[in-house]
Amino acid sequence: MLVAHFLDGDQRAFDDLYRRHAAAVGRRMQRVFGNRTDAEDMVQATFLQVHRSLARYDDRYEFGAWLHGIAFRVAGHELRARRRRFWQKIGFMEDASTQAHDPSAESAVHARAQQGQLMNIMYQALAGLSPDQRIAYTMHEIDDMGLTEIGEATGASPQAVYARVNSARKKVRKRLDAWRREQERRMGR
Amino acid sequence: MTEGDKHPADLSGLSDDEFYRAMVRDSRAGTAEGLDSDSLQHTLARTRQAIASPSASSWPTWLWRGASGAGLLLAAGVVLLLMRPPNGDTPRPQVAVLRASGTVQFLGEEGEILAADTTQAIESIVLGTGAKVDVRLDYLSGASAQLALRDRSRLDVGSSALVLQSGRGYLSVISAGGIGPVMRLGEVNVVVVGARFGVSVSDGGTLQSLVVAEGRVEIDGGSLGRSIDEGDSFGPRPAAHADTVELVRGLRHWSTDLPHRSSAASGFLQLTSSPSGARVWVDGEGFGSTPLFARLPATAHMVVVQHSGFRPYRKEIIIPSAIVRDVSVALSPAGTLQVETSDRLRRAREALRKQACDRLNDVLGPLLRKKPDPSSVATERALSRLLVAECQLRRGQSNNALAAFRDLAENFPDTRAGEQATFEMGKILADNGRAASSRRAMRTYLRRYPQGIFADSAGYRICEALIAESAVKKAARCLRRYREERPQGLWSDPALFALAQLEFDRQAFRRSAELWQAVLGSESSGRLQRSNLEVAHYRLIQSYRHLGDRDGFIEQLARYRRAFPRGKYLKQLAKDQP
Repeated sequence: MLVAHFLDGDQRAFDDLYRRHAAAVGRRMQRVFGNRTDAEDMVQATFLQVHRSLARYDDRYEFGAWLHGIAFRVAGHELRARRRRFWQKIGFMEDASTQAHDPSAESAVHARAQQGQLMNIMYQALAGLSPDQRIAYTMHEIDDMGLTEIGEATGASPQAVYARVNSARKKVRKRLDAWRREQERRMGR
Repeated sequence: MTEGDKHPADLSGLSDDEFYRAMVRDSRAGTAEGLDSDSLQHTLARTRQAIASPSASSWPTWLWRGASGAGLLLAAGVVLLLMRPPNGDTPRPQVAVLRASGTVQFLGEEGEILAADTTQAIESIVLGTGAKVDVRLDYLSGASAQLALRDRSRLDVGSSALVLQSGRGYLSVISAGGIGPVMRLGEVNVVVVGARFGVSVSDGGTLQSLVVAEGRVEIDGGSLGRSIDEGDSFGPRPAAHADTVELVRGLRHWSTDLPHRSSAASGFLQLTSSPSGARVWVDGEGFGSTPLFARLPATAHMVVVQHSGFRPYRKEIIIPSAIVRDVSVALSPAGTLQVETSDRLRRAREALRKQACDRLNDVLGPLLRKKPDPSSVATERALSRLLVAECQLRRGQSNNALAAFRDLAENFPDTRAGEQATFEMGKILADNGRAASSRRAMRTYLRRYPQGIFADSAGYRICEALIAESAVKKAARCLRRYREERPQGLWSDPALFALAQLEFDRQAFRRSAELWQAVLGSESSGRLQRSNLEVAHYRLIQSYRHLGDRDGFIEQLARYRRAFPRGKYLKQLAKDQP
């Protein structure tokens, strides 16, 4: 109904759509990116794209699913662009690595754990995944979305999503294990 | 005790499985809160600003638009149509015709944004005399644009009319669907109901003529029919304005300045067909679809009307001067191969939209064969391959897509699809980390299509590839050259950002600080993605630290804190403070 109002020229309908759905998109984007700033950027980019594409929305499908499909595409594009523009890959990753290797810290694991910020290490590990894998993994593993639901939003089959999640899980575990071994080696020093 | 009962500090005692689950749990907890209402409200304001801004986008969007492997969207050119009345002549309204899809903005005389909208198609814009209209288009690549337009030939500017004040006359564009505004036609009120689009030109507040592609016109409550023109006698109207309405259709007109034409040498064609929606060519040039109202030079024209599944209609039609020639065509069934092919491409695009690559292959089968039907044309065969490759790309089969694009680029270099394939090859190679190959592909693109629609992006991507190859000096030169050659280029701002980062990486902190200042101070900083804006702040502060500029450090840190009260670098910078 809101979409119809928007298409009839009621700009307030777009704001209402935003208010209704932005929080959910923001939460999902925070799952994917691991921080608020990126999540805000993705919400903006998503709704900008939604504004452009509303006229193409087919009301036989659920609006939320369509919207999240756009959000995932926007996120995928952003992750893809960042992989290429690797020099922009600074941020909490850098902070995490800097602090993790800070010799003044008695134990990086300990310090991180006390702050409840293991998340940063986790997202550092996620940086090695392909955009599709990262979206599938974060949605399934961290956001508890079902494979079918992810598949519908990303235009992939549940089997493909499962393959992405599985492959991502192996890679993440490998990187986490390597990180942990390194920390234990430091602690044992 | 499970790992959930352990204090995080005891992580060292966990098994690998438990450790992994602890990490997942922590990530889940750390990202559970989402964005608070303040951030959401702030983001809504930024989104509105981005929608209304001249670029109608922000960095993230046009970054991905340019960077997308699968995306067909392309930020296209800006068409500036500057209408001036000829010296000594009575000012006459002019018509610009655009067929495109995407964002359209209407700027007023002072450059202010009068309206902006995302549209599926712009059929026609009628300008009042002296109007200056800056139209910015985002369009789908090549043939897709045309299809999108044919399918969705409607103008969405909301339910009310858009009126541009311009000298003596003004412009109204009546929106798709709904009930249009009440207008005065002489002494009576006119309302357009359910029009797909309509245009009107008025002078001094009096409607002179009205054209409606679909829908009906009501005059003082009574339905009049499909269209009214100057020949209709409804109230007084100014004399000597035979040239007030011009509808010209077809992509080829979109970027040209609009010449004044003598009304004495032109007439009008009103063309309807059964079934409607048939494509029309006049003298070999696409003029849109029926029902059609077009102004043509007063002479004989070869008109071709085609509709999927029907035999094409070809006839020479004489257009008399200043007269509306009304032609109705009843198409007979049994279409030609060409028509079937076009229909096939339409179905193929539908399959592509749904990422149904198998169905796409089935639909396009005859066009994809190594020995295709000889009656199919090269552009259609090329386009078919492009669609298949794009479908593969969307499904994540980048190697298959790369092979398909390469084949297309080599075998159909003279087609638009071949051009796009060359560019897409470069993008996929870059995405796959093959920077040198990507750079070569982009160079090939620029050599073959120096004025191509992707030339701007190709130029920037060469620099990007050089960065990826760690050829820092060459990359910096490339970025500087790009910014010099294309100061208004789509990638000018990212190039500045990258340049600043390169200087920072090679520890040229003074130069880096200048460039970061430029990034933050440029007009484009408002379009910067917030995360990049934050990075720019952070890097500038770091540059000051390396330069030993304590005042600069403190001042910039304060700015950063104001802009990002909960910035992720604040803690780190507090430690670094000299």
